[in-house]
Amino acid sequence: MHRLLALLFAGALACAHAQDGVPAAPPAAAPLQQTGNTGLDPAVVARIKAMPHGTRPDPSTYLAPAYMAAHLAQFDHGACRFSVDAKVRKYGVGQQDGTSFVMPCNAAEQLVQSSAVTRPTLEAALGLPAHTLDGDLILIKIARPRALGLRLPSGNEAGANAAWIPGGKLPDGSLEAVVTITAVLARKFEVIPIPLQQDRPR
Amino acid sequence: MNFEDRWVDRARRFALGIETVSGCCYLSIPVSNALVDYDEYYAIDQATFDRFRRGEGVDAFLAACRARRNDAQLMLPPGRDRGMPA
Repeated sequence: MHRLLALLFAGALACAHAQDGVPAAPPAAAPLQQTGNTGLDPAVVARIKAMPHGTRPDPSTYLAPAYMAAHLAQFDHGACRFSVDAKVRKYGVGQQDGTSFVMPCNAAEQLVQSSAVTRPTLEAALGLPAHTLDGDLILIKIARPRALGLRLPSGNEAGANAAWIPGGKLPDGSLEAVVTITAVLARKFEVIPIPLQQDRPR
Repeated sequence: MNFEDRWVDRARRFALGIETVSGCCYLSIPVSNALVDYDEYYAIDQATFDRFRRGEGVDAFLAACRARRNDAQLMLPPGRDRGMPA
């Protein structure tokens, strides 16, 4: 599974390394100790993460503008999200609050182009229980995510679960951002079916 | 497993259907983790299916599913990165 995750996020991590040198200017209100790419002190991360869902601050209040700009630039070649096809047909692309978490398309595309991808390995890589992908899987590709309000997640989004951490990264270091996406904006994204090996009986 | 939706309530964001291999009825809700959107399936009996189809008692059941109080009825166990109700 780790090998597959490495494949999934290889592109994103390569991009992340490119921004290691970006100086994170400390916010005026609360100077932060440099710890990793976000420049956030672990205590600040813990404090924000502990806030109740819906009350967390806007990332611009604790992240440096240079860090945010460099982070969002990683999505300028497209933002992507995986979905089970049935979910999109029933409820549309966005979540109930209209937001959707996205990853850089190069990371998603590396995964689906891998000849080693099977349903069980993909389920494991996406953190899903076995058989979740017995139906069809699609990749939602947004060519110009800034047109959909590309931004750092605040942790108040409907899809922010207990694993969310401030700074636009998943616990394994891969990149994430948020867009606002609704049926009205359907023409702004592309739905790409993902061919998966039918490698087990349904 | 093969989940076939028979009825969808888009406004309240749930579906009723049948897993055709086992013949088990289910109620499903959409959930999302950081990488993927998918459905969670909760097993219900035929009488409950019919009752929910008429809209009777479904809101309380949905609230319990979203609050993870109905996990004993999940047809697939939660994954490593369980999604939030979406």
